[in-house]
Amino acid sequence: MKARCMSRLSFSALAAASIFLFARPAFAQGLPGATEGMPWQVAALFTVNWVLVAAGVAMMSRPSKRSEKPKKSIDEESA
Amino acid sequence: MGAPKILITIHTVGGVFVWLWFMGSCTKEGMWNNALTLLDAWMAAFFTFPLWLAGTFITISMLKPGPDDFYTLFAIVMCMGWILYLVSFVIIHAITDYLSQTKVAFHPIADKIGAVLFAWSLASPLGIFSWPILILVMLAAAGQ
Repeated sequence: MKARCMSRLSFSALAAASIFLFARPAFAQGLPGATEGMPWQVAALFTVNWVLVAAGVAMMSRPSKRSEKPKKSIDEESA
Repeated sequence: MGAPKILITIHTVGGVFVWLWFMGSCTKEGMWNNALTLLDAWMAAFFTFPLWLAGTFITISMLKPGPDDFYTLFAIVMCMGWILYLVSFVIIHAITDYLSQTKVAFHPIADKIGAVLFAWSLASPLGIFSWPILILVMLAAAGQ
């Protein structure tokens, strides 16, 4: 559990650092500069799309609760 | 670097991150769990697609969009596709979890290889549902 948490934290840090490095020129120019040459709606839709992707990732990477061994039947338990 | 190119770069980095995330968090789940999750993801995509098309036609016929309503229509259609997909996935995944409550055992080597291959493919439906926005950003980049 701890290893899973650590790997998720490190992946998140890696992603945040990469996005910051690549998007830094746009952030440095401020919002009007960041959306220069592009309607603001495109940037807004892009953000909404990634929020929905993140929701999908969270749902799909949820750990399974399946057991390794089959549950004993009532007959086996009583015997 | 122009804004559309920055968005394309963020999209690429985000895609790699999602792929790494699945590899990191799902490989330990084993082949059976990952295979079922991938099956659920693709079943949800196939289930969503006709509903999404029907919803798009209904939205267009109800709203009767003008030339200035492109982004509004795009936002409605995009969010409708994603919400239909995520809801379908949750329902199908819950049904699968109920039907298969035990992991099927495989040979350890086959289980490891299968787990990696299925975890590697898990991001594919999410990538396909992100194509509309990527095309929109590419069009914005081409228009610069």
